[in-house]
Amino acid sequence: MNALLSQLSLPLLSKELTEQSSRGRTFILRTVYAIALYGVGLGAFVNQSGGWDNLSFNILGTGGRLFTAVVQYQLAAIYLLLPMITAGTITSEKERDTLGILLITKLGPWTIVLEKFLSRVVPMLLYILMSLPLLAVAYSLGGVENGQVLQAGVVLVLCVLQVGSLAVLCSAWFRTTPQAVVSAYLLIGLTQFCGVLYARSMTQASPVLYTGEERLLDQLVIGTVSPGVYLSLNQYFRESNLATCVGWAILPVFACLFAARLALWPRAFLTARSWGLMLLRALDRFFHVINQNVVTRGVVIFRDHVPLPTARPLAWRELNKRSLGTMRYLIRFLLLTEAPLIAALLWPLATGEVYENRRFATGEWALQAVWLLAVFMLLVQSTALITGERSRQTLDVLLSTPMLTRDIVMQKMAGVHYLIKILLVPMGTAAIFWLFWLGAGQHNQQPPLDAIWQLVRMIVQPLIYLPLIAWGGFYCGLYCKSQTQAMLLGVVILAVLVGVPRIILPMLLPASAPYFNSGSNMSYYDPSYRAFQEDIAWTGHLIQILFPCSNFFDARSTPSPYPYRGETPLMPIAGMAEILHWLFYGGVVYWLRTRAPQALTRSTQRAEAPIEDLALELA
Amino acid sequence: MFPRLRRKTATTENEAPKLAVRVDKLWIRYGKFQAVRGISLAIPPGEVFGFIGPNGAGKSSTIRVLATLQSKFDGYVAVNGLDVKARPDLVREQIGYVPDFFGVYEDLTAREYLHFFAAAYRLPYHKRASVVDDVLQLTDLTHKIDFSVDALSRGMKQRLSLARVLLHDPAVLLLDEPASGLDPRARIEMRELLKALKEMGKTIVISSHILHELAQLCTQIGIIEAGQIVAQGSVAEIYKHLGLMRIVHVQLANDPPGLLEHLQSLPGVTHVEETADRWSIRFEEGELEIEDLHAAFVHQGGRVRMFQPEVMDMETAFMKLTEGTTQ
Repeated sequence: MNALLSQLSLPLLSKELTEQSSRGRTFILRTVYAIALYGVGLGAFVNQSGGWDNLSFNILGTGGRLFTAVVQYQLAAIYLLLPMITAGTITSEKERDTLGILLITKLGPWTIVLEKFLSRVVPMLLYILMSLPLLAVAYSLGGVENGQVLQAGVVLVLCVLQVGSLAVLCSAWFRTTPQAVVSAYLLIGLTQFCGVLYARSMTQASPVLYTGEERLLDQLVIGTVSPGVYLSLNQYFRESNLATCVGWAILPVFACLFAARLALWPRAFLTARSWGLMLLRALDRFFHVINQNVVTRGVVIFRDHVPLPTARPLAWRELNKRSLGTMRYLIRFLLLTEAPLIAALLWPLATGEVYENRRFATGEWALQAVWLLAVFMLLVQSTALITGERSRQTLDVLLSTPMLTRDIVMQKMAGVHYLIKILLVPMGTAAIFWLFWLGAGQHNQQPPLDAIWQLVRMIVQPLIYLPLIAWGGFYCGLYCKSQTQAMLLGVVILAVLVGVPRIILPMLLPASAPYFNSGSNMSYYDPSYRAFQEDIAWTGHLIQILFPCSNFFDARSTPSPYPYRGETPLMPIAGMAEILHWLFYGGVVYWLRTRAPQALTRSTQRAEAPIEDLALELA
Repeated sequence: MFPRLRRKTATTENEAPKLAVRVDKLWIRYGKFQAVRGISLAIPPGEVFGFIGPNGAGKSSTIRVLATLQSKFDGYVAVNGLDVKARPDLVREQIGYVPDFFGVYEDLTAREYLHFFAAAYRLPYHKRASVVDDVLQLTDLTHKIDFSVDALSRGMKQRLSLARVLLHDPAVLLLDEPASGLDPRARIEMRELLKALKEMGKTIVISSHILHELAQLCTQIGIIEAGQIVAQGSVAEIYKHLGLMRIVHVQLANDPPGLLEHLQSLPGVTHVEETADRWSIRFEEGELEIEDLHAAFVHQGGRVRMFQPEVMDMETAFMKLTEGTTQ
């Protein structure tokens, strides 16, 4: 009996849960999560009731929207948060050199993998349980069936298990946490993309309701690949085969955990290697093979020569020795991003897409994808600036040199600024196509002023937001011990900045709700859109100025200050608000940039000469 | 433009010009925890100062203050007469700091690594190649100049680290556990290198756990425990102060009668141990000089094949002075 009890004591799980609960950031994360969840719930509730003044019996039977909002929020949180939390669970042991110690204990590989898996899944399930009161409100309002509640619950749990197991597999496979996190996101993104693609082909092929039996295969495929997509396609399955789907969807969980168990020993003592460098070397080999043909015959246009550092050593290293530093790699990166991007943008033309709005949607998707890529790459690069020096244990050595702190900061940022310039190329490509589709879709309905305004927005937005993200990432790296923590902090801050206004605005301006709920795909002549424009006034603009909500990832969200022909100028104030928004965030970027040396000094405790002495030295 | 500041700087620079390192009543606090509690040090130029203490005693914290990496402290700390608080930028020109770990930029070769830091120390560009060659020669790493830093052994990395801090020819070297984790050969090479630097007139502040080596190398020792200096001075002074025993190993070609009794009757001799091939004589150095002990052997007809005074027993001194308490 005692032996059985000792087997069930789960020491690793206990240790992990105790550690997590004693960390300050767990408390912060839980609080932020709960505030956002209940904010979403409240927003949806006020929104569906038509405003604070309309709370009456009319709201009975309208719990569906609240229910959907809460479930969607939970799904988004699972896909966004769980990989970040879970992917470091085994890699952190590798980084601390403690995995070997664990492996020589009586804990078997299965126990280690399962307990690590549970240590991340259990808190996430508790996060999901947090929404029970909201779901109860939705249920009591009516409009939600028992089956829906059961289905949502099962799907949420399945998502947690799938995402968690995939992240654990990445954690067992890779050497460092950033590698594991990035791979987990990529794999999860890929599976979701496949799920969406399959679902889209299914709904486009037969956009009518089928019986469960006829759609069983579809259900199984989508349910297995992406339970979240399965839930959103609920309307297409007249008879849902939830039980069968659960059976299938649990298979990838076991497969991932089994693979993690297999990988645990052989990949426990890997040597740390630069991932970016490995990728670029693989690219090197690929391009080398391509270059050996009858036409080019291995011709080399750019021959790299890395000179020794002269005046700015840190900038030299960032620009010459980091992954994208050399011209050769730069060209390869551009080929790698530009070629598929242009292919994707031209796809509607190649396939003879007749609907202009679909062409336009392709441009918008591409633009958003490039924005996501840019944000992700910038966060990775900028959060690594200081945390990388810390993990390499080179920060102290660097700080004991006579370099000024300002020089250290600016030189470290040189690589990030370079990356921004590189990213502007695919962003510019996507923006040009988007503008082109936009113009083509309007059939000369818009005056040139509007096109110019959109062009200005396309130029100004990256110039403000990309440095904002870069400096934000730098600060996150400054105050966090590891890059993973810094990236997590960066993602949470971005999510708050982008998400919170979308919760606040519908509450303050119920008339604008359809605008937000429809993802802003509304006609200019839509009454609710007009109502939004008329209603938004100063309160909305103030929020818009303070948060990069409407502009982030969303090219069209802020209405043009210029009306259509024959219209009365409704909202010149919207343009003013956007200009104020840019000024505000431009100021934030300037402030972050100016304060960065002091922040570095403060966080590292480096002794700094009084400012007048520095002025003397500069003089 | 700032005449007042110029005067102030000049005054600061003129303070205590004869000391390479001066620490007066240094207090370092991390929140409520007091890592260093009012220690004072005075290290003249050209000295090799050994910092000894258990883990968590405050050695690294003190060295970090000297290296301008710890701005929050109370007390006065100066390097070559420059106040660390007032002119950390100038202090950085005077010091070379080797931390207790060796961080690498895995993407650099030894040549790039040294040129990188030569630029960071603002060495004139036209001099860098020759300076890099010189320091590599001094640290015996010339043949590894184009090797990746990551590929070097730990001992080589530590020597490269020393090469790095010598680039700008600093007056004071701050070495935090430079020999930790090195194999015996690498440790001996490091010790020889430090001796060479000592002969070049560098002031060296070194903390180490390898007490035996510190005793051989250091001209002054400071023993720190729980943030306070418990003993300071030359090795001999500390031994004398503690009344520690000296041990001499002797091998004889013959076995004169009555020698053992004679040795035991010498003033200060506390114990004579006769083993298979040697005699070990333990005595108090204040009462009996080593030369007199040697004379006693010869006087008794002993044919001395080996006469080897043991290096001072630093472990004993350390154990006697410290109670093994950390804060």
